[in-house]
Amino acid sequence: MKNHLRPTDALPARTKTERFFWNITRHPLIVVLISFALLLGTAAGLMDLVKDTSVKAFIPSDHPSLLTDQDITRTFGLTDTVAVAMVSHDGSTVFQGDVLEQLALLSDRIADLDNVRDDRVSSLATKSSIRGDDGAVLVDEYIPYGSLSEADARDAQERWQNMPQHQGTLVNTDATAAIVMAEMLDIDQAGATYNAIQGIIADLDTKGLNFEFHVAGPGAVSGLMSAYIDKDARKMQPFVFVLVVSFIFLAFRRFGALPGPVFVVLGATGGAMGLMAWLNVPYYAITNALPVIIIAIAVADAIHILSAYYQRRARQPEAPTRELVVAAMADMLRPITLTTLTTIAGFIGIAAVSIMPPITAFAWFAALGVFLAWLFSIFALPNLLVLMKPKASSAFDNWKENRPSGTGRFLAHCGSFAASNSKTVLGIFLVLAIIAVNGALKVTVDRSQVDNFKPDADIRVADEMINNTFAGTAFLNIMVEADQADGLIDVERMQKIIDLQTFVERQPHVQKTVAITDYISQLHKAIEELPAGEKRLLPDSNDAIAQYLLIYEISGDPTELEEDIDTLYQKGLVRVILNDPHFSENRQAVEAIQGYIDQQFNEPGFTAKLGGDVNLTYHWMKSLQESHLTGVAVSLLLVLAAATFMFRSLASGFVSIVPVCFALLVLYACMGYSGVYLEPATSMFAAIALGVGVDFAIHLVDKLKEALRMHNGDVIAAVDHALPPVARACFFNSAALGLGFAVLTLSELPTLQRFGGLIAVATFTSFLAALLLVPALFAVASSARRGVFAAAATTAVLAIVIGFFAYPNNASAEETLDGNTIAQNVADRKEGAAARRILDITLTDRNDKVRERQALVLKLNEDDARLTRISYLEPRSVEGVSFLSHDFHEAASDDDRWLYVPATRRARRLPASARGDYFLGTDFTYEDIQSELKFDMDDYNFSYEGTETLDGRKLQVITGSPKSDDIARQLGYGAFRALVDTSTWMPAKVDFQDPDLEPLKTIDVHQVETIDGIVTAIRIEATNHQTGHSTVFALRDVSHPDTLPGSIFQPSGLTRGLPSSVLK
Amino acid sequence: MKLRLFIASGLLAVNTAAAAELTSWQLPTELSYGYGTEAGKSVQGELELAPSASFSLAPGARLELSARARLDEVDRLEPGKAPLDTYSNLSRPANLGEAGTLALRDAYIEVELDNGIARFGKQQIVWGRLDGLKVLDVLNPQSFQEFILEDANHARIGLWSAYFDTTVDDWRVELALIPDATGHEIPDEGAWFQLTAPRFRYGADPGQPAPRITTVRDQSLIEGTAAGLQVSGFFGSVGVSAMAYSGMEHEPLGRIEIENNAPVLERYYERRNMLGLSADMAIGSVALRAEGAWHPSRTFNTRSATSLDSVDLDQGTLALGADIFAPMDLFINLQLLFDNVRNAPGDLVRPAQDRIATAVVRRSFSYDTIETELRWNSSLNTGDRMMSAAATYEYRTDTEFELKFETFHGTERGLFGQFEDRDRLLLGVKQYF
Repeated sequence: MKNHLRPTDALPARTKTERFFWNITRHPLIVVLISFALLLGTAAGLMDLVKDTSVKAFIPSDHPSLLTDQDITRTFGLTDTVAVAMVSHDGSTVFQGDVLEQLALLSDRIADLDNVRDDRVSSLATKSSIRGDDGAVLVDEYIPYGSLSEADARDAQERWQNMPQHQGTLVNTDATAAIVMAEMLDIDQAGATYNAIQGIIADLDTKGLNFEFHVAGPGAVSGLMSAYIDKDARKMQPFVFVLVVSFIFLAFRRFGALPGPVFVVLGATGGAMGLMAWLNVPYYAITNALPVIIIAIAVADAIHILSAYYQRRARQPEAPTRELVVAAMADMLRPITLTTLTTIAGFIGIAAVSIMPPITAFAWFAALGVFLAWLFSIFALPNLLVLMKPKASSAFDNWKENRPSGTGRFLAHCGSFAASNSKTVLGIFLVLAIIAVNGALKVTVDRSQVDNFKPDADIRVADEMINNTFAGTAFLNIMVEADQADGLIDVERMQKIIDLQTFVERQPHVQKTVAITDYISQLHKAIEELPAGEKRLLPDSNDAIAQYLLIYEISGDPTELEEDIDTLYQKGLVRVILNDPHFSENRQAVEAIQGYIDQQFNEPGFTAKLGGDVNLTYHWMKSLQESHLTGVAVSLLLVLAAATFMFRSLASGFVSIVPVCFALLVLYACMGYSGVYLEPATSMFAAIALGVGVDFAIHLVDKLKEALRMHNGDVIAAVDHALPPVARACFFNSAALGLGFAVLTLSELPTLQRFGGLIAVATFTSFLAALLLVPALFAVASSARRGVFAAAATTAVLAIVIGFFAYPNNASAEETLDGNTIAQNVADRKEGAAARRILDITLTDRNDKVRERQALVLKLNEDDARLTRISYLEPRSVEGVSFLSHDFHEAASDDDRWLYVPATRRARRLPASARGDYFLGTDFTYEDIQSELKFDMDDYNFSYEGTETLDGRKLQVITGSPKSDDIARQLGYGAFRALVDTSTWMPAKVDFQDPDLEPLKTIDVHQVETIDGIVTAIRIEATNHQTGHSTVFALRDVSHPDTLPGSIFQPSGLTRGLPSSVLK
Repeated sequence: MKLRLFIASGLLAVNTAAAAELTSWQLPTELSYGYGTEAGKSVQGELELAPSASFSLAPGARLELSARARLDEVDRLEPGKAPLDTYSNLSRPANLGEAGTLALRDAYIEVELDNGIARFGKQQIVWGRLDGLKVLDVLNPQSFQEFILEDANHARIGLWSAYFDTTVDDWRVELALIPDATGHEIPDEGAWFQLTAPRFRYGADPGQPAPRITTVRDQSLIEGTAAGLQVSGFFGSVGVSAMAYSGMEHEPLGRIEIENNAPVLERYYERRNMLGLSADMAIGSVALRAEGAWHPSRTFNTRSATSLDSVDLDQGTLALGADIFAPMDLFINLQLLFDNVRNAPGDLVRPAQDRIATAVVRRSFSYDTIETELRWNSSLNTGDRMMSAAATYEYRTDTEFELKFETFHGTERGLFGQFEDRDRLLLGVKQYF
């Protein structure tokens, strides 16, 4: 009471901290005004905030894939596309006069839109057919100007049927749907363009036409997504804000309590976002989450300070506000600083590891926002409180008698219970953690922009329909480039492009490729009056190609080829159209194509590069996959280090991060169980959970440590004493945020629904875990020897293992070719130290009856032998049957083989000579299977037979004959003739003869990919000419680990089954 | 305490439920009909369900479960309830009415060790390298419901046991501890494959009425526990194993007891000890196998006109086998077994020497969709023999048809001749679900 008599600027405080706050509250109005000015100054930058919501933003600006993409965009003028499909209801053709008229009208009107490039609208109305007529080339528009008769429509259809490059692209293959593809000028206007196109469709005279219209395409999806998120976020965020504020009111039951937190929130959020704009950092799609995390931290700081203030106000209702504020601030400075530093450490960890600019920017500015929240909480909030002089709150009435509130007491009871039953509580959390780990393991990395819309959203339905009806809406671009002008006027190079197209068209989900070669081929067929067909044909001379291009430019629209070849004839574009936009689905194709380009296409003076959204998505999703867990782990370690340093105790540091680790697990488990995949947006959830979650634990740990000192280490007493106020503050903090963000689940957009729901889960889980785990861990720690606990803590934390992948390169050297050299090169082809593959086997007999099997193939290359194990996975009748071979390199040593049949529970030794026997009903012999399509140098005499072209590839031909009749009998082969691709040293085709030199079987290698630097035959077919039976081996889930457990390649390993590490 | 136990159990159950993941399952269902061609009547009309499932409990730990239910409408293989008194209480199958049984075949948890595995629970442990000739494959008893005609995997009876299989340097070391003292399942009087030869009836002649039979098991758990150790390795490419085993006999001995002034044949079990060696190797088109076993002081029954006694004698067994991959894609398996009881007295119930030869010729057609097999087993002691011919057709990936004919020749006192009137034609269809 004596303090009341003191002058207001006297110093009642004794500690340094109290003196500090006493001093900064000397001129409250000035400090508040300065803070406000600071807020306005920084927030003013928001006016100039630059948005960049494109896919490309996720790639570092100097990443080769982005540079190539920019090069392609510059050279060929490609921009984001909107696709409008008109699809028949009743299967009627688009080649009807009135339908084509409407299509032309639609195409024209779309071209007239402001945001559409009128020279980049592709449809039957803008494209031309190429045909020959008595030696002349006719390049005609499909839809001539004016009214159209049915004869015109039939003529258009006939011409279209001879233009393979327009089938599946302009019109679907059965001619029941047509599409208009329009490139947009500004992706940010895609929403408006989408609406304008819908308006055009509504205005069309479609009466009597049995056609429906769908609008989609990557540009539309991306633009609409951004627009929808903005719109929905703008609509929902005020609700979030109101709910958060409502909970703050509920916590303090005073309107006077609101300005402080609101000011801190605005200061921190506005400041961070404003500085972001001042520094010209774009507003990326994931920046939407930035205000969320800053609000969360800022609200937490303010609530804790207000709680401390109101608690004191309740005890001393008549005390001067400034004294109470100084006391509260002095009490809260340490925990708030601790939480700020640990959270900043966490975000720095994420920023340091990620290479994606949006994520790096997010983390840095989140750290900045957290710092600003601390700054405003420490400097502005106390002065605001001094100015507003908040009156006592009824919510803190109990503190008049120095008794915690009901909520605080209840929460303290929970904490006490956890401390009293620490082992039970830890056990329960352990069980829950195991369940969570089970769910977390189900999380997959994937992305498709269109999945962000509801399944029944128009754009999603349209996208799926277009993907199913036409070639697709996902694009991969391959730019081929010669080192000089006119470099593409070259038959051999054009043939290489065709070979590349042929390879690409074999990849999964690739429906179509279109390139300049298609036009050259079409012109060639027209001029030479060759039969039309899908096979691409080229003229014999370079001059002919030059002439064809000239003819086309004269005869048709000179701009029509600008998407396919540049004006210098130095760069060409191969557009690859895929019918699935998912990263997981296209990954294999991108890797295969890149491998082909590296190993088979690129040569001095002529190269190819990948671009397009599919390629960009591949690179940044791969980057996310590789860096996400590392980022989270590094963040956790930094938080641990910061907490350990600040508490000067490893055990306390450990206790601080355990709850947030649990919350992270729960978050991932929710994602795993609900099928939410990891993508850039969802990868932010971990950062937010970390930022929010760690604060609760830090507050509790700080107060408990203090209370433990007061109660001589009595954990229960310390919990009873310390928990009520701090747990109550944390509770209202979590409730405000959790329920606030739960509101987002009411959004129309699945993205925001997931965002709101998962942040709410993370917030509540963090609070609950902190409330129970912190007291429980303190109780356990107090009963265990400190050293043991610290060691256990260290071990547990360091148990996070981060895996890295190595990508060795495969190089091949040109050598003088002869039979032995080629065979030796094939034999020397790198196999990797080990391999793991799933093998899908399709057996087809002469009556086309099909049987399917599936096996796991494991290989381990040791110094003296190649070890192979094949275990059947399906069907059930052969499940578990395993074959093991030890194929010794030394010729003198017989190979060892065993067969394990589960019914016998015994590994049975097989004679080595059985290598020529057919493997379990397939057309491959045991030798074929374990040899990796190589020819044993000790088995054959080889001869060189020159070259042969297969599917446009020039291949080396070798033949082999067994060195003895005995070997021939063992192998079951009297001779073979193989076509070998010297770029990979993989046979493309092998014809075998039986020991009587009758044609026996052919092995065709349909698909080769380079995986982990190892050339791998992905699809192999063996056809037995004597029986009409064939077997296809299709490999998937191929990996080449550094090693595999040697024990699984022992006969004993057959009976033991496969270890779980190998089965994954 | 109970509450804590309950909570702990609950947590364990939650934990297991959360962690356990069904990794594979199957339900082979087989319908078979057997006709006794010699006897002119149906032998069996059986439905067999053999569900099995594998669960992953945690990385490196899995649970294997399998069971088998057999329902035989004709019920001549084992008329009435199956004789299950040779089973231990824990392993005994359940009778499904008069004509069916339900057996838990496997129920074990397998845990991966650094260099091997450990299995705990009901399981089959198979040692030895030969097919059908049980020289070293002695850790589990078997059912003789269909004599030796049933697949070894089907006939073998799983036992509750602990099994450790680990690799030490280049050696594989297997240790089995089997506290489950279940013996062979032996068909009752009147069963289709009732063992009638004197060697299986404690010397009684075929047709001679048998007294009432009881089975006693008076060993404690420790006394009844079997233990086996096997060490395997390679010398060059020759695989070699050495094993030692000690456990209760699976084939019961007999003694006559008087109860209520009437003789009772009491079946009982003695411990047997065994040392064994086995080897295999491949030479060209032939894989060779060999097994040898030595039983010191094994107990055998002797029978005189007035008494049924026992005697301890040494026994040695040697068996050789060869797999030959012959021309025309034929697979041929030949095996020969010599078994000798040293210093055997004249009244030994079993022959002092056993010489058995087996041969199997197998060939697949149409890419393994059709498999044919001829099997020939002969006791060289008496010249009696058994032959079977079988064909299996894989109609679809998961559907198989089987046709099999078995025929026996010899004297009623012989190993195979005892079933001379038991020729059987079997038709079966197997569907994997």
